[in-house]
Amino acid sequence: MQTKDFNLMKYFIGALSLILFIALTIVGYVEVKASKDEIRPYISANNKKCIDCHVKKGIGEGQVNDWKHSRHAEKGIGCIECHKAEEKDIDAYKHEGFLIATIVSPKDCSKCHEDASKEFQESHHAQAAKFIGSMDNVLGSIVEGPAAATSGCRQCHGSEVKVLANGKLDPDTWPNTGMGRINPDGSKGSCSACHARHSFSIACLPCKAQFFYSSGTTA
Amino acid sequence: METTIERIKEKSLKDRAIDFIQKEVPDHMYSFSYCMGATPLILFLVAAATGILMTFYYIPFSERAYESVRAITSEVYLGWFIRGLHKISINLMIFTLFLHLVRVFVTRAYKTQGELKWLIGTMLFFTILAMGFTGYSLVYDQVSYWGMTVVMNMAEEMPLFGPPLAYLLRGGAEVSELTLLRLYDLHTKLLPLLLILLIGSHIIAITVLGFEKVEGSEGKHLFYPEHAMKVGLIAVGLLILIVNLVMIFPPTIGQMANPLEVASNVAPPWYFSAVYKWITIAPRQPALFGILLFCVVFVSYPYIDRFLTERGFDMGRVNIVIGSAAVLIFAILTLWNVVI
Amino acid sequence: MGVINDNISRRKFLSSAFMAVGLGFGLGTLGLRFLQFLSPTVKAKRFEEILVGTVNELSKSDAMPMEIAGSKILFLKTDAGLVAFSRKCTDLGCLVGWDKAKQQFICPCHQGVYDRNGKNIAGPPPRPLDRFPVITKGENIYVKIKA
Repeated sequence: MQTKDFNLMKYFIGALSLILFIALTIVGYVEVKASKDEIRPYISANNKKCIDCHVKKGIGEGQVNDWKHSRHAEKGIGCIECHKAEEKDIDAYKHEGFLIATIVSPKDCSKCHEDASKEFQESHHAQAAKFIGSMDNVLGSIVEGPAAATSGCRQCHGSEVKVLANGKLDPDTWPNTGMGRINPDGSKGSCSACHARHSFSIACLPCKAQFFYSSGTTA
Repeated sequence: METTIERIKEKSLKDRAIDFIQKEVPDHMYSFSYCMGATPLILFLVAAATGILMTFYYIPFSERAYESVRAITSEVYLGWFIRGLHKISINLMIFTLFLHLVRVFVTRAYKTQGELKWLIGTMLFFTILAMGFTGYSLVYDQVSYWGMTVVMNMAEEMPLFGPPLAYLLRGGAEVSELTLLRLYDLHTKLLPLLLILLIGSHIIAITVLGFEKVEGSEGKHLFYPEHAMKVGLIAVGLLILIVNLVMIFPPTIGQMANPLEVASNVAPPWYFSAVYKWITIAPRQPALFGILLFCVVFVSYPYIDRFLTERGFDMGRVNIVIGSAAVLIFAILTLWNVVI
Repeated sequence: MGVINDNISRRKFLSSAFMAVGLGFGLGTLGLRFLQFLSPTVKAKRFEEILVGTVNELSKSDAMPMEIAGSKILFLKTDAGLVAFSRKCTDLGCLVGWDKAKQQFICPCHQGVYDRNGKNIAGPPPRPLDRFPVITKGENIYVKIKA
């Protein structure tokens, strides 16, 4: 029986083990990179009802997902906090046991964001829809016609949202996120014209720039 | 009585242990093709370790099962890594197991005195395939659910012991949450226990019965440190391989099981593809009968070999032919299933 | 047979040492990864003001229990205004209930008793009930919680 020297073998095993160590370190690095920043939404019992049903039915999943990544979500400000309505609101309706309104106007936002909302109401931005019925909009409403005004001018400037007899919103006037939108509750404007819903944090491009980028009409 | 005790006392436990690991191993074991028994074992240990780790997160109950697997894959820290290791080590293990089987078959290592090794080996083979099936079903995605259903129905069709077996496995007349629980128990408790016993017996059988003589190999070398070092080298090499494979092919998860709708892409894992294809192309009863027949021939092959050798057949040649044919058919059926 | 051999040469020692160190790193890291899998790093908790409701909603009844971000709280109208008490008993952590008739907090586990200001008046609790800061912004009431 020769006494073999296993030195080479041992060096091999040692070297391979070190390569294994490097591979595992890379694994750890990959993992850490993946689990960096995360928002922790707080979902109250009522909001959970909204979210579960909407996600299950596949309606508004994008909105829910946007919200989950928002600052509102971390503070527990969810669906019902903004969308809840009172009996006296003309656009209020019953939905799965809650009394809600689709439109969240600057008046609703002002419940928490009083200062910003007040400043906005007093600004010229909130008057954006005013000119539409006036002579300034001859080219739009009269020359090109109401359809052009609805799908073009009003999309940025804002429409006057009408509530039909059956409680639903007039499809000629909604959806609309125009900056000067005249809401059913009387307040002017739409905060989400710049603070895109439902994450709200970042103010998006000013309307005029959007006008150029979008495939809107060239009035 | 006295003499036995004296004989036991003759050598200390330490010396006995040293004697055991310093047993001799024939020189043909230098070749890797003869070391493919150790490879599945190493991979099994990795699979067992990662499997045990996952039991700390897995929930064996219908939708929660799918949720927990999804959580392991995308939320739990290093979950993808552990699950990926588990999947890849299992797939690699079954692959090298097939290689080992082919090698043993072609070299006729079951020849007289070695039948026990073969018998235990076949039991191991079936148990490992069962582990593969039960493990796959635990994910509770579409493939799991419909795979479960199909296999249960197949089991039910078996003659005699079929229906009661299917009933036991399913926990009733239909696939339900009890089924998942039973498969979970099988996969994590009963079958691993059986596997450990079988692996132990397989190794002991080899130690006691020795290796089949291979032509051209004359010398012997020590199990420890020589062979052991080699196995150690292979083990570390395998680990590097699978860790890298996990990073290249991280684990995924399919759609959640929907008892009301069969997805179009339901297909068993590759190691069952051949059998699956077979029962697809052949009419029902003959197909199942064929599988049973194959199993019987497979298990009792050493005796068939002995029988035919006595009748003058050159089993060395025969085995090479049968082995090659089997591999070819397996490959064709598997690829056919994958391509179409 | 030479397994236990005291006469080990420098060469053998070096190779064995290298193998041992390598294996230590390699298998050690693998074991570490396994351990990390079982015990994920606890996400650092930070304070967050969470909206609970409006002043009107919380004035509906004297005591309103609720669960916010994992903490169980009881809102109580005390002499000093609206207070958010933690329902975790300061004895050993059982859930404390509010007894309206007696105007006391009672812990069922070891019969700890707190008065309506959260002060521990009987039983094993060593200190008064913990409170969460309540922040009022206009109509809205927020609770500052570690989440």
